[in-house]
Amino acid sequence: MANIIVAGVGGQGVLLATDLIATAAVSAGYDAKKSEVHGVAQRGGSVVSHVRYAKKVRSPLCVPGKVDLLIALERLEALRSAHFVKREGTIIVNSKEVEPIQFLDEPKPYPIGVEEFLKNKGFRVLEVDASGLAKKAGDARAANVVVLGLASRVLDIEEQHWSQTLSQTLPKKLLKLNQKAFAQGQSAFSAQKG
Amino acid sequence: MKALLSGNEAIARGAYESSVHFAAAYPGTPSTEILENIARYKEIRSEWSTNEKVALDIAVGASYAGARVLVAMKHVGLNVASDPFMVTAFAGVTGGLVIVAADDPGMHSSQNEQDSRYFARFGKVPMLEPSDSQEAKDFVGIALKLSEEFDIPVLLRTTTRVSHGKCVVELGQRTEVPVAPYEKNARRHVVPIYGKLLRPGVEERMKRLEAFSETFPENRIEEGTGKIGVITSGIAYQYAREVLPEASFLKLGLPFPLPRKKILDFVKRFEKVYVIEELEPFLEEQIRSWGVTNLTGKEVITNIGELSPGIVEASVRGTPPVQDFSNEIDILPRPPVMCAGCPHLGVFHVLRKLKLAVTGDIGCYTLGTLPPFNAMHTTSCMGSSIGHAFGIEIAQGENLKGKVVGIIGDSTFLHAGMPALLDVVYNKGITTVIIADNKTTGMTGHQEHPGTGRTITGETTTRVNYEKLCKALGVRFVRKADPHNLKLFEETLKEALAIEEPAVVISERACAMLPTVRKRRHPIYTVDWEKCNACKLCYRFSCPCMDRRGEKPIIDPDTCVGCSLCAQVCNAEAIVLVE
Repeated sequence: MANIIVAGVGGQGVLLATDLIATAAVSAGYDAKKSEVHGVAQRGGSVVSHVRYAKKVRSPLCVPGKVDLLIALERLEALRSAHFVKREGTIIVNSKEVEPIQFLDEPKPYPIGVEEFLKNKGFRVLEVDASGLAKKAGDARAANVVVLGLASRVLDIEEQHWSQTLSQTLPKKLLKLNQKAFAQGQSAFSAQKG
Repeated sequence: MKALLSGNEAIARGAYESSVHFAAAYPGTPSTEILENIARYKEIRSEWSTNEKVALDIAVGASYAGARVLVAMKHVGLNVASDPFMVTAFAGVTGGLVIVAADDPGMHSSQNEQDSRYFARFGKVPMLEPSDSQEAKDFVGIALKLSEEFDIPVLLRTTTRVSHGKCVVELGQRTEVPVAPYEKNARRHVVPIYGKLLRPGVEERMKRLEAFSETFPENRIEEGTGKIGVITSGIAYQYAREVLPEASFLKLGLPFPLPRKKILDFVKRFEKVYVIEELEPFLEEQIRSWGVTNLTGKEVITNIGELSPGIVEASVRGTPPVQDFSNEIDILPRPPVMCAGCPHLGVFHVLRKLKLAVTGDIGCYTLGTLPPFNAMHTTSCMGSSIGHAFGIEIAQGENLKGKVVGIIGDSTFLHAGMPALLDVVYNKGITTVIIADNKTTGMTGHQEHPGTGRTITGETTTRVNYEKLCKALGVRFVRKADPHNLKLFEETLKEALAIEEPAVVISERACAMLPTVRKRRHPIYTVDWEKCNACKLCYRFSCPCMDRRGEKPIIDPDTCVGCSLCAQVCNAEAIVLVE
């Protein structure tokens, strides 16, 4: 079982990522629920989606302090949702920075040392250049599937369910690209571990 | 067969399985995907209606004429449809009639927070409330049966986390139900003439429904092991079950009318009973009115915003939030912004420049209120911009003459703007109105409407001609202008403001996010740093593809859509086309 949050900026593919996790979990025989928000809340703003799987799931929303895995497609968004993560929980951070548009006379600087801050809080932080790896796989927009490759090494869902989910969920012409992106994420995890 | 479905997809599936013949809606978050998914079933005739009142009127007509009908709207849509809604309990139904109202606690994408459960009591209409996608699907079938058995429409109330939450749903078979033959029944359906005769029947049916509620299996007790009792419904049930595993639950699938005896028997068994409900004390106040005193509800659980398992746990157990890092590191806010190439960017640049009193409406363009534009003075609900502008004009007279403008989107204008524009003409106003025609219903995710020339299923249909429409309403000054031609748009708007009669400027440019627009080949701009004098005028569009961290701007070639707005305002001619 796992409680997972995927966070990012509107347009980064947060909702697809949680759809894929929920589908893989169901295919592995778990009960699963996810939650997301649509509408104007999405336009270039922060997007957060929750997904949970277990033998039986009640709430589609995670309980703060009990999240096992936070996947952040953007560095600042990792920080914004980190309070959900339990001590010794894992945070996967795409090192990409998307500057929030500010209208202050003196714009505040983008926070530095995000990963160190999170590590000092006791979280297990996996930093990855997912956008760069996705570009290598063929399209920078597949960063959401790269981080899923890492997540697949953290979660107790077997390999076959991930590959089945990818091939059943994604449109045919994008499948190869996404399979490559997923594999990039998996090897990035192994490289960090080694 | 099982499938992972959102609540909205599940409601659509329920409509299919229960042989709904006709479905209608006006888009609105979080209800929009219900009709989008119903439209995929060719067995169901579906439509985007011009507004929610029209949708309900057509639905009622179809129900009188024997069809099974589902009509869907967001909470504020039910406000628009409240006029026909309040009459429905008097007239009853022939074919089953389900009205879905999707509330948005926490106002993720809404102007207000509203508990639509009160509409059930107000209109004396029974209400079902699902707590996940499985129930969302199943309750559609139950609602149709109830509707036909008790001769009354049924409200199906959802909230964002049910509408946009996904879970595993066991799918069923479709049961074909024929459309009943048409029969004239004026004594039921001409309500103003026969209202006094119909009135006692409303009470009589409610009595029968109350008795039904006592034995309805979806008003169920789940025995726990602890000393606490919980009365709850909807998504709050899932949160409470999650964090109070030891409690006994009375879970209400039909929270109106309430099963009074069942509730009184339940509360007697516990020292303390929590009523856990999102938003208002709808259940709690009714139960308290029966003299029950061992309840705890809104004194510990907030009526503001969404609940969550964390909030329910903290409220019931009195524990503080687990952790909060916001005092230790600067978590910069990331509010939504208009997209690169958005047509509204040009409109708001001109409105800001001319320092006008701008009354706004419901759509992405409400973001023109915020920096960097700070241009909007008022916004309330669908279609209000024109009335607000006329009202300001009446109150301020000469003081603001030629300085007031209402802005309304194409879909919103067709929904509720037309009567207001006619009012301005009729009552001799001189209001200027911008119809921001982006060729779609933008904010809810690109739904068709009468101005797009396509129906919900993509078939071509008669397309509204806004110029002819406004002229027919009596507006003589009607002009089109491309909002990405800043000079032309400004001149057109100035002309409209100068004439002393009603004027309409149609800001014509398709939404930048429409797939047809995104596929178009377009140029890309770049900044010539030699020429750039770092005046930062171009920053004032808040364009998401412009990196503004350094002394001089950088345009991201991957996301620039070539709208040219930044180049048009650059006095140094430093923003140039990439060869």
